[in-house]
Amino acid sequence: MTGIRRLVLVWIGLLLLLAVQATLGRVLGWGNVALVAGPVMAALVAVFFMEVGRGPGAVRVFAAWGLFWLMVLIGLGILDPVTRRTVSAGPAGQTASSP
Amino acid sequence: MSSSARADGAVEFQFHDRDYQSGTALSGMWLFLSSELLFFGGLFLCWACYRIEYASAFAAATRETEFAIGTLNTVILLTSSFAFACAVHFARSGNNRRVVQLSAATALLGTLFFGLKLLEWSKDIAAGNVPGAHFRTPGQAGGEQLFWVFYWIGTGLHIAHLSVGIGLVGWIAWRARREAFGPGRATPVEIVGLYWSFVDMMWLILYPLIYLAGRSA
Repeated sequence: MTGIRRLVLVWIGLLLLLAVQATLGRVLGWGNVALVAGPVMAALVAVFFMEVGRGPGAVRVFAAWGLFWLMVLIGLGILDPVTRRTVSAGPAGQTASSP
Repeated sequence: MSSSARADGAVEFQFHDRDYQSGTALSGMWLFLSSELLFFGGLFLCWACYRIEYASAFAAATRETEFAIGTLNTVILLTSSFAFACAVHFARSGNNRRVVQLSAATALLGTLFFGLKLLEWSKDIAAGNVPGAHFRTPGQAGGEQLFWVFYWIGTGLHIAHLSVGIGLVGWIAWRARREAFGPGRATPVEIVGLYWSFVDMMWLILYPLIYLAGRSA
């Protein structure tokens, strides 16, 4: 029954995290901070419900590979929006984008 | 024991033994889920780019979402994922009765999620949160419309995956009624469990993007 007990604890932990996340986002107005809880909860699901550590080595390779390419996709894709700044181009008040 | 139950214990000709066969199935499922992760990843990237570009419009649109229904649905999906993780545990020990019960509970919770999502969609439509000519504030707030494009595609894709999952979980319940699973014969339950939890994971990422991000603005 230790396996079931662990699953129960993880489930309770996930619900508590959800409560914290919803409170941060809805009550305190820290919506962007609440974003962090999502990946944390997803990681708990992957480790305990999906048992990513179980099975042959290929399981961990494929899981890590998916995560790696997701990082590349989002990391490179978001590079331009987060580094682009709008600067004033002159006294006429015209603006220009600077990469 | 039915013929399908006998087939669960069989080792196909291309595998040395049952462990090798089971490991190959698990690895294949993880490879598939990795491709699914990148599929959803494109959606998350679009959200991030437009969220940066239209920060205030996205924050305003987030405040229009049905927070209570979204949060309740998250509780439901987390619970369903927990229930099916328990079903995997019981399948390994050959307790098929528990597998039937937990699979049925999982399918019911998934159906409840589906029903609440339909209710939420109807509220969104009634509020005019559908991008296009009939959007509630036509001619302005382009960023808000982009948020709702993300919302409809994201929730639509998720519910499509969930629907497939409900069918798969029902199939597991049907097989378990025929005593199909036991020690060394639980791979189908493990595979479906991976899929169901993955659908849960994608919702855990979508939930704050839709209902929480930008509420501070």
